[in-house]
Amino acid sequence: MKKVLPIIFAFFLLAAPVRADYNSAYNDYTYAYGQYRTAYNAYLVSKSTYLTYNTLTSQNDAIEKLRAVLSARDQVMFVYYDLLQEKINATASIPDDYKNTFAGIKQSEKDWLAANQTKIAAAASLDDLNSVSAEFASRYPQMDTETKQIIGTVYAAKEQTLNTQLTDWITSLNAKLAQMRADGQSTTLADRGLLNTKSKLDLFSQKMIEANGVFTTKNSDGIDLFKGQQTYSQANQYLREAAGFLTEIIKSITG
Amino acid sequence: MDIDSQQNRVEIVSPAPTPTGPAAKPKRNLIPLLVAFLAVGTLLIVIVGVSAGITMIERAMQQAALQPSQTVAPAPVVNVTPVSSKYATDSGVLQLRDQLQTISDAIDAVDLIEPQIAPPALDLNLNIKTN
Repeated sequence: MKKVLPIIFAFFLLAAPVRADYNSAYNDYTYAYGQYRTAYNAYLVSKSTYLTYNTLTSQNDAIEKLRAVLSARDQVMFVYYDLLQEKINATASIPDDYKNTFAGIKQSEKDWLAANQTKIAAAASLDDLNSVSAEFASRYPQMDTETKQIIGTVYAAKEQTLNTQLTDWITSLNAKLAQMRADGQSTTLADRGLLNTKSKLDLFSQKMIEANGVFTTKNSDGIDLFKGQQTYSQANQYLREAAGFLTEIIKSITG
Repeated sequence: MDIDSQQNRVEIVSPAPTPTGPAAKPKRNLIPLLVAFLAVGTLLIVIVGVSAGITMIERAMQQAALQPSQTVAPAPVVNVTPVSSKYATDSGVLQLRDQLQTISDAIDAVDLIEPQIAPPALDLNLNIKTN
């Protein structure tokens, strides 16, 4: 019975419908991760005990603790995909096609994780569990790439949204400046400021391309998330500088 | 004979020299005079030197005061000279200003770390193997 309960629990977790909003997904994720950490600590203790005493009792305990932590690890990834799905759903400027594509990827990984869970539940020995664990480790680089690309997409969407807002604003400003010129007002300083702003926005675009390259790399080492964050931060700095020029233009008009 | 010879002996005595020119003055001691002269000279040199030093310091201070003071900022502060424009209070311009402030705030506040969606720290080497 003790062996069956975690399987039933896992089944309900896997079969549970996806929560509609991001906060619920995040709560599920933090709960699952907490369960994993608890199971992981128990696994470390049990493993140490078994390797020290090598008794039948300690072996049985090691099997159950390893089974529990493997199941918890799968569960973390399962809800992590849900979390990322909700994140891109809640982020502006991400096309629906992209969301749908990721939904397909997520479902594929969930199917794989569910199959892995079944193997975990069916494993009868430490060797079986070790084998199932190795399958997860082999699969993980693919999951790591998929999930980090989603994170990169979220960063890019945020920056692109701000860039669009700034560009739209410049369009409105240009209309106002045209009106001022027609009215005989000098717009020399504003025109010069707009040239500087355009230069900064060009640099922003170049940096965005560079950042996108970090998240689509084919490097065997995988995606360097930190480097990607840094590059998007540099792009954001160009947006700040562009906004600074625009603020000066407005001040030159309003005084 | 002896007596005569003694009496007739003429004692030739050379006469004492008699002064012929005016009387010679006694020599004076010049050392105190020399010391006094040197002391006065040294004092004059010191006074001249001190006054020259004071003059030089005063000139240096005047020159330093005349030189422009260094600015703290390496670049001059650029002040945007407000253009006297009737658009200063234009509702469209003021609206643009408010919109830009909102966008600037959003740019400053953007979170590019997103710790909530950071990849979970998972142990990929979960196994129990006995050698």
